[in-house]
Amino acid sequence: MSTAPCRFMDQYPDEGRDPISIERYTSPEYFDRERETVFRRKWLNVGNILDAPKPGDYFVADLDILDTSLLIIHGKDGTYRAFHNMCSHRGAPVAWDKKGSCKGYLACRFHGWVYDTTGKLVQISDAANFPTVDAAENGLTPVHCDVWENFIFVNMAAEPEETLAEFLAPVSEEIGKFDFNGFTPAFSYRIEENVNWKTLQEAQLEGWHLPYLHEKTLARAVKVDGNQYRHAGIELFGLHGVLGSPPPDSFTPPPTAELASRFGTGTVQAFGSKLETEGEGYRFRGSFDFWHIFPNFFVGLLNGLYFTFNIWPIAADRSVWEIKGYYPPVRTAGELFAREYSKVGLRDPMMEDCYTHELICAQLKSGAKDHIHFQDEEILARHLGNGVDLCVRGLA
Amino acid sequence: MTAELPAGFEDLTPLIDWAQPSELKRNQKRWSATMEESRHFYDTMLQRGPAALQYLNQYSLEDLDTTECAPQRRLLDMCLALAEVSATVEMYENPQPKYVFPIERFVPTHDTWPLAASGERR
Repeated sequence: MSTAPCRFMDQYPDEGRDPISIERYTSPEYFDRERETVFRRKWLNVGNILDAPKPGDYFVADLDILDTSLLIIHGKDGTYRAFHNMCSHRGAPVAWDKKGSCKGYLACRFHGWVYDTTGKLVQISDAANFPTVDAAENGLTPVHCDVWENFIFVNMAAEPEETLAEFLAPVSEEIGKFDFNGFTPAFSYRIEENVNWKTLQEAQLEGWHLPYLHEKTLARAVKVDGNQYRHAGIELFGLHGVLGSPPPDSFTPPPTAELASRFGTGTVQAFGSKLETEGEGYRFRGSFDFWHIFPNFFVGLLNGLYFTFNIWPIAADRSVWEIKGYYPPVRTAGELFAREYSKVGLRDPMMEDCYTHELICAQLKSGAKDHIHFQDEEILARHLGNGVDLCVRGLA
Repeated sequence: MTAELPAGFEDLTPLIDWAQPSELKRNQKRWSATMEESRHFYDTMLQRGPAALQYLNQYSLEDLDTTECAPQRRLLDMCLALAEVSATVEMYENPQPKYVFPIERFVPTHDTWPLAASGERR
């Protein structure tokens, strides 16, 4: 084994090494504190500018944990704005579809009140019969919204404690070296799971389980040092962090991967390719780097593609996992095949992850144990729980 | 009546059951096949895949989604089924691996190209 034991614990002593209380995952009171101290305070990614590429385009993002649904509009002036998706008349949604495009105005389907893309109420139907309604005071209710790189964030606080730029400052320069241009939304999945939102994220916050849980799928694409997986690197940046997966010493693509690589790009090339260590561009820590943006957003960077995860809490034991893959545009059948092969290769291991989530969640509730344990290679999972706990205790 | 598959690919007609129009249905076909059937389809498509994809590359994806191109579309769906069945042969060595979350709960909400994921869910 070429890595020293406890290398990350030594580097990041503040993270501690003790067992972690299961109460963090099961207690409805703790969950209520998470709602108020994390989700109502921190910047949250709700989508990608590619979800609404043209002025007038919009999409709807459900924030169940805060009992609301947001309308994110790409304004005619080019600015992205977010509003509660709620007509000022009687509370019906203004946008009824998850995604759409308008010519500059959105009309409520219930009684036809009309809003422009800045949220202004521009027409009250049957206005003379609403003698007390002042249009100027009845626009859509805005939510703080800002864009970084391709990613649209909202902040649900009345007044955010920091700007998005400040919130992302520890990681923005580093991630920003990755060129996010030239990709299109290739596929997305939405999975509702009976699991705590932190448990759901933890499997994505450590690669140590790859040779075990993903023995049949991903294990071949990583280096196993001695008998154990050792991350190419883990770095903590404030509440955020990154892990790099160690590329295997040698990688023999299976026959279907060979066929796919003749016609298009895919994950397998990414796993098998050599790391760039020179130049101005993004410096990969491993064959793929998982960036965790606190509290619930992941940007996974690979050579030639990227994907994102958004993990949305619903209750202490219920969450939604949104998975979105971004690839170069698919123009031919051959490229579609390569993309499909890559997608299946990512999807199946994630289905293996999902299999564990609900079983763990159910068992954590048993009361059989008070604590769980994280080892050194699992420090990023520990870091998430620590970050949340700092918020809950009013320290972050 | 149109041919089931494009001229030159008639030899794949016995495997036409694998031409399923959505990710979910291809996955269901993958799970319902025996290991022997999976391996036979996999071996055949690895042989014929390069010619099939080369042939299909002369069509635009928009054209492949039209009724006139139904035989070509079936051939494409068989190629996409190879992507699914490769997991059976190259990874799990088992068409029904244990300890995997049901795909019915893995709901595709979007796919750039509807050919890859379209079709009803149930």
